[in-house]
Amino acid sequence: MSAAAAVTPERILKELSELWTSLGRQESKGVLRACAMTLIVAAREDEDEGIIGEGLAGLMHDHPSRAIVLRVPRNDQEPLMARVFAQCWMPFGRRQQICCEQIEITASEPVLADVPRLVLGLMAPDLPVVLVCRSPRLFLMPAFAPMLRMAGKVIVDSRDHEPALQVLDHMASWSANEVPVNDLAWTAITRWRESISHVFDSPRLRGKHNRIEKVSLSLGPGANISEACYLAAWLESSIGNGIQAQLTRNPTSEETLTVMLSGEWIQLRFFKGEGSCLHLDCDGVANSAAFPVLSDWDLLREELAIPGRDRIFDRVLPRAVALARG
Amino acid sequence: MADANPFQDSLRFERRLPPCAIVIFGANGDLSKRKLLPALYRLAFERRMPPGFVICGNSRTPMSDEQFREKMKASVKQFLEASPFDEELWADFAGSLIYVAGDLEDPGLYREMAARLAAHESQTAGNILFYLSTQPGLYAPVALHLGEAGLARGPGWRRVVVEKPFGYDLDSARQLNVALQSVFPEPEIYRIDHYLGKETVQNILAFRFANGIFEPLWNRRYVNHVQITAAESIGVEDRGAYYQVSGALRDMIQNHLLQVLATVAMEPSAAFEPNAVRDERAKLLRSIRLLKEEEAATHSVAGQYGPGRIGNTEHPGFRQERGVHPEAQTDTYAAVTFFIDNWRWAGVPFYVRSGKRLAKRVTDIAIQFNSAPLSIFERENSPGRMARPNLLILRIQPEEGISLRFFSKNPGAGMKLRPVSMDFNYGSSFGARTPPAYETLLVDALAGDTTLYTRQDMVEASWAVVEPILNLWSSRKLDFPNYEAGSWGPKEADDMLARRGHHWRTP
Repeated sequence: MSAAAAVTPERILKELSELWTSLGRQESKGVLRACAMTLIVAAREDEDEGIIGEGLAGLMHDHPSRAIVLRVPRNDQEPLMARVFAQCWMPFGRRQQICCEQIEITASEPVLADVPRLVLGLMAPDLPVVLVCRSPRLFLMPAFAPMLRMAGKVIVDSRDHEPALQVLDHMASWSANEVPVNDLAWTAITRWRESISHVFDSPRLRGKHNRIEKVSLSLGPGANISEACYLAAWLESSIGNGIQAQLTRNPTSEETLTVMLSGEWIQLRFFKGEGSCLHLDCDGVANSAAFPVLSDWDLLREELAIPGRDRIFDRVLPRAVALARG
Repeated sequence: MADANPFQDSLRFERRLPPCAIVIFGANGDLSKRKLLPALYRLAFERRMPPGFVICGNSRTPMSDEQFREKMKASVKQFLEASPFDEELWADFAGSLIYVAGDLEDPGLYREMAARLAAHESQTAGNILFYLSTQPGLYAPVALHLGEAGLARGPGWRRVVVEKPFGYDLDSARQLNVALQSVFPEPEIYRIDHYLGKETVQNILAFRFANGIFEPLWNRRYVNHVQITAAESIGVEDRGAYYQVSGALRDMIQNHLLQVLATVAMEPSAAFEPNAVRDERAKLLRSIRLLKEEEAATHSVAGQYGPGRIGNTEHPGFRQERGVHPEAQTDTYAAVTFFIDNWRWAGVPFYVRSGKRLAKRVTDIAIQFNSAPLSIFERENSPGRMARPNLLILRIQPEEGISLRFFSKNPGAGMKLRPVSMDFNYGSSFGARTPPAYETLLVDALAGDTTLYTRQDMVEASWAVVEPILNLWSSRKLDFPNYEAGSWGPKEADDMLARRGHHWRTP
């Protein structure tokens, strides 16, 4: 690790090259260099360096990348700084380490405009570029817009911002015009959506979605408003028939989230409590599905596996924004 | 489409499986306990099982549904790989398990089974997958009984999965096919070859047909020869009695390795659709030259391991293994030189070997490209040394991946060369869990995807290929044992390659 005096792409790339040479010398069998994309991570201001490092290290197994971590501290007058290092791991039963490179850039707000040019020179050649914006503040900053434009895909997390509407609104405008923007709040409801979809594969309910007359979501303590809005918007869009979902808060409920789909001949209730399963009650017949608790990094892992646009998300986003507006 | 599911999201959700019942004959056996039930539980864990699915087990042992569930719970807990066991989910999964005891030759069994399955028809839409995890000799009788009981036809689809061996030779394979096809139409017969379900074998198709880089080189002009190795370090363990009548050629080469060879050498199919891919595999298998009697002697080598010491442990020879006849003529090692008579591969030897109690467990495919036409660096490098790299290795197991070996200049003055390796490792590029072959193949059978299953013509073509060798070996007394446990096989196998100026790699 070394603090760079002049912060230029050439200098950083030279340091990276020296790093690989020294890693190769340390290991008698050499190291295996893995890279499938440039992954830019814009950290939250208060985020612990160790937590980001740990999260990225876990991610590298599935999505080996040149990771560029950008930190923009609040009210800081520090100059632009960069350092390089490597994340290495020894796969079980193997004798050769696998390493991915990381570049950490620290830029105070006054010098944020210098960052896009720097990052442009640091991108891994011929590979996709994904920007994970963990900081809603940065996502909303006009000075950060050039960074968003450089990416082939932007991933944000509206669950971390209060009010979420501000982030959702900004996402909708970006996603409609320029770069595909995805939200981890949407990724977080994949298992909900999959379970609901599964039910409509059964012989009894196949093709019966048009019998649904009412969609209601009850948000218990701990429910996230962005997730609920996405789920409601997706249900409306999938069922069609101009159906409008009702969202209500129920702070005394024992269930985090309950979804009711009802109509003539159909009565479905999906709910998630404290356990590790999502429960389904279909006209009195109970069923459950595994529902593991996923961290931000687990969700990111799913999202990084989807290159390019998610058409269903694009379709749902404007309605989710409208629902969040209330 | 009125029935289309508007909630589907193919980008994120796993492939949908239709509602169905799965009937496992031989549910109390090793395969069910070690592979099938853990795979089905894992599919439920990943939410891939359809709602209302039913798993109906059968064996001769009398058991209640509840006892069967308890037994299967213990097996799933023991053999579940890389997944947590969730009690809450198991409770739900166990509700789908039912059990019907009975003898496979008893028509009453099938009537009782039909009644129990009919009771669940509203959940399963009448779709039934019959999995024959039984003695191979029972495949035809079970199929015929299913037909007589009316279970092979119904309101939904009816499919049957059979495990290898598909016959003992070409004649018996044909007879089995006739029996199965008298009950189930060929598209509903799923002959499982778990090698084709391995991610790394499927990746051969992706490697060859999703990249344009190697295709121009993938032919007789650039490929010198191909070596396919499937080596096991263990002996026959407790399969001595079965293995004694089977042998390496029947047990590995006739099915698994010929399928792998076909995957490596086949032409690209026009589309990635089950029959398009299988047509190309079948065409390739039919292009393998059928050896004349005198060729069979020079193009094949049989081996049998004798006792040996590996590390600090003494291992018995095959004839000393439990259940094995002391004069057994079984091949525990087989090596064959195949030629493919088509324009792409004419004249290129495909060396295939498989054996037990070899130096280590490894399965790989090595494609040896031709050397540079003029060796301009020989002055500073010993002659002959230059002939090795230009090697592409597709590693099937255990270190799954692809390696390209080529020469590189040693740093420093002069032009001394050394071989280096460029590696792609499955484990490092994809940290995600690799589904076991049985999980992949079960999903395919339930989804009606036959791409990775073998077809009647493929089975018969591969039996036709090995039959001259089987005939030769059965007509003479082989001088066994001829290799030591822990070695790389008999010397005759080295001689077979040496006749063409080649030698076996050390994988």
